[in-house]
Amino acid sequence: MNALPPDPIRRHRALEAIWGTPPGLGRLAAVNHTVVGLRFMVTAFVFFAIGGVLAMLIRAQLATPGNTFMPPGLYNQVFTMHGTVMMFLFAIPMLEGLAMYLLPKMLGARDLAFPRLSAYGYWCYLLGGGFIILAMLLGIAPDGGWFMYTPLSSSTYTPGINADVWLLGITFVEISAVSAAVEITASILKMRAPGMSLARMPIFAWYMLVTAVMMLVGFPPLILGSILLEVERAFGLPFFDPTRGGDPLLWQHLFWLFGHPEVYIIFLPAAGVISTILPVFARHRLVGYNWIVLALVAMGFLSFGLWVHHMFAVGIPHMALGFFSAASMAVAIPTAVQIFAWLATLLKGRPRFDLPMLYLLGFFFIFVNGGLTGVMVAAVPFDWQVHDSYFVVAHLHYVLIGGFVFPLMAGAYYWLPHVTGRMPIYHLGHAAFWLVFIGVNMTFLLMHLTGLLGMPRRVYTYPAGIGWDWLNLLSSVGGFLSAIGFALFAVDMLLLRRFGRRAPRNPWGAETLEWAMPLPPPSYNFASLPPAESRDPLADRPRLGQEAAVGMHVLGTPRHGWMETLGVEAVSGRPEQVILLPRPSFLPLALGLATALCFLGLLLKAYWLTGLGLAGVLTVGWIWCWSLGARRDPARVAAGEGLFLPLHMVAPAQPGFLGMGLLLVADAAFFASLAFGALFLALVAPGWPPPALLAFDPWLSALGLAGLLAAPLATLLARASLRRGGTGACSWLMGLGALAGLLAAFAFAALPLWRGQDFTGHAYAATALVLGLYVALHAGLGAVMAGFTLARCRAGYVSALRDLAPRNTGLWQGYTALSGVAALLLLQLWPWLAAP
Amino acid sequence: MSAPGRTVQSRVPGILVATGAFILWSLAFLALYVAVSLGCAWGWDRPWDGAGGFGLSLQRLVALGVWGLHLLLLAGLLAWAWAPGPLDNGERQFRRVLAIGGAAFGLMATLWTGLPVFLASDCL
Repeated sequence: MNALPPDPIRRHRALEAIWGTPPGLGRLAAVNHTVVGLRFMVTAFVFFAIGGVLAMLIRAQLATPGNTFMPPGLYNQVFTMHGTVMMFLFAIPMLEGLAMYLLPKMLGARDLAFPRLSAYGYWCYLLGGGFIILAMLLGIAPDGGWFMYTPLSSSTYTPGINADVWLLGITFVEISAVSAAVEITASILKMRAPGMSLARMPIFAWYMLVTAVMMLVGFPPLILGSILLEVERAFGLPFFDPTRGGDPLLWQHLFWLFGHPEVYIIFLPAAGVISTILPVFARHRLVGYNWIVLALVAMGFLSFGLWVHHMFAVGIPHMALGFFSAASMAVAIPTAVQIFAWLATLLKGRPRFDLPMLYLLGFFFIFVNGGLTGVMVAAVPFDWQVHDSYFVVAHLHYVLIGGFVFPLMAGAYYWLPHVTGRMPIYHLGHAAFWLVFIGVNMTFLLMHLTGLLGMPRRVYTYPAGIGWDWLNLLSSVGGFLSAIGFALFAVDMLLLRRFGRRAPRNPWGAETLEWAMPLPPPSYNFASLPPAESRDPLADRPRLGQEAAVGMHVLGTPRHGWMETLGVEAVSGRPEQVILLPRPSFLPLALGLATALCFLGLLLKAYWLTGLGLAGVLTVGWIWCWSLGARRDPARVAAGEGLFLPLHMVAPAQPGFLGMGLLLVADAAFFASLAFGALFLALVAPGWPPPALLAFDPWLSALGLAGLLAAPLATLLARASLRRGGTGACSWLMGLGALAGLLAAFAFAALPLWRGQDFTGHAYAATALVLGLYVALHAGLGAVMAGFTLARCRAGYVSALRDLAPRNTGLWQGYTALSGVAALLLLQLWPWLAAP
Repeated sequence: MSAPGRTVQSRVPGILVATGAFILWSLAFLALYVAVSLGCAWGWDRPWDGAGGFGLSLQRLVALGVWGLHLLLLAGLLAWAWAPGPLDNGERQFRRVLAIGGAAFGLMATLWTGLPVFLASDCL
């Protein structure tokens, strides 16, 4: 394996030539996880600064009673944009960027599983976020709150395009979140160092695994809600209008089905940062690793049973309120497991109080207080007293600033040497900490009192003399103090990047693999992939980084210009394949631009533009998929350390198949949310049962069902013929599958549309149309995939071993058949559920 | 997570060991929420006049049944996870903590989140 001599410089040059990002305009083609991860984080920090300026505008307006600094309409835009920017454009992308940057390095891989998907996600995030900020600059920003409650956000009460900007812009950005979730999950499960079993994974990877799975299930309800509200606004189909069988509470359910898990989606990665950093500065291994993993899994599940605690005041039966209240209190237990594990680590170690630790202590103080007020508002009677008051604003800021921003700032100082190769100097960092710490407490501790004195949220001003004046003034002063602190932090980062002294390898004496590489990291991370024989590989072998640099371990010799990394069995970490990653490409940018065209067309109601964008998406998507794969079955290759492994395109457990499975998990969550919405309307909304039921044509139903079942069957037979060596039969069977998919698409689109039904009169017909179109769209996409597989068969890209295209097509068609049967059953049975 | 000397527990896929109890908790939670929603829509909150109703509403009886069934399943899961097995390496210890801790946590969480079946009014 070691054709090159153990000369790290020569090896470095050879690998850099393969893995490096091209200069100049070629940077737009970057797919490397270090580059994309940093882009996510820097962009998120810019959005954080924008959100911070908006927060200061809010505090300036509220500093004194009767203030005329901003008119109410502008204030509505400013507070809506503050929440929207901080939640969707700062917090989530920041955690995605952090995970993208760190995970391959911590896991001992050279990149993520789908580098082009990460790049596409970044472009969607940048374009979608830019879209929303541009609207703000043009004075047409969303103004209905970051939660966009109906009926305020419906077209009757928000007639302009402000709400459309939010609904379409956020959906565009969410594409990036879902793609990141697929990317992170697949990468953690498949791309690890040899021997790194799940039980040996760095704890940060566990946090990100749970977070990414939560994102897969948690984001689709919001995407569905946004689509339904946009369809209601654009075409008049009533989902949230109570006069036509809809219900505004459906929006709240869908929003908070996303919104509450979202809090944990933001907190868990930050907690992962703490679990990584704290043991390093405590100089003791993390106490209770196994119990922390258990607590994470518990939080991942429990956090989906809390969403109604945002809706305690809307009139839900007490027994149901009780379930959600109890679950909201129970989630404090796994959170406490982590807090106590961290305290135990500090107690058992010999802590050194460097700057990152100072920020962690700030986290403990602020987050624990936020958690305690969280238990208070989880109690229904207390929540009713403080609902929609500034007490809740104080609580959520304690949780989010304490639980996300402070750990992140600790992480920034901790990983600064990694990113820049420079060591931090602590003068400005200390000043920044104290300003932020004092400012945040001054702003939000007092806000608890403002809320208890009855000040409601979202008001643009208030009268003098009712006890709110001095509290608001001090909160504003505190807000500006923390803003100065954040600005100092940013200046410090820039100065350190330029003037910090050079960092040695592993400056903190950490034990995770990201420190087993030169600093700043090369584009390929490891010259050879080091083994993981325990949870703390650098503790067992402190010279692992040097060993990797001279190519002593797996995949240490660059060859054929291949971007090689190792694929492992998900649980045991046993090496099972060599994964060849795709090279830098402009395709992700092109796909991002085509997607932007779709959304722009919808916003401007220029649907021809949307059609053009869709054509672009399909074309670029086709070219993207076509550019991957091989025309012959490759032999096993030597991977070093005595390993001979298949290349990924002929390996049984390919990351691409896992990625499709994960995408379908998100898709299934979308469908489940749609089914939930249908059942909710039938059982709870006023105006049910509907005045008339749709007449579904039995022939069309039968045709649709036949097409749905025939498509995966044809693919199954095609795969069987491939195993017998017949690519010809594979081609015509895939053609048959494509025809069956088209038939099903036609039948399901026509099913509700038959006989010119009216879909604007009642939510029943509107929802039936959405169900039909959901299945039709999936069947149509299945037909495109079958057509693609047919073309791949004919071009020689498919064989019994190279069967990713038919496998993924079959998986998609199988899911479509299942969801189609469920949709048909729902369409037939659902109206009968309505109360008589 | 995989090791030689397989016990009954070690034959179960790791993902089920880690998540089985929480999946049962989720099912219990969902079933209770659906039972209450259906009951309130269909008028199950009136006292049940059939045999063995003890003056409780049909809704409360259904909720009690759903809750009790899941508690039994989780108690069975905990007993299964508790069965002795070798703990000779970190992988097995990891798996055992997930199995026993998960089942215990799932059981307690189901017991706690279902308590309102006794305490709260049906559909007010």
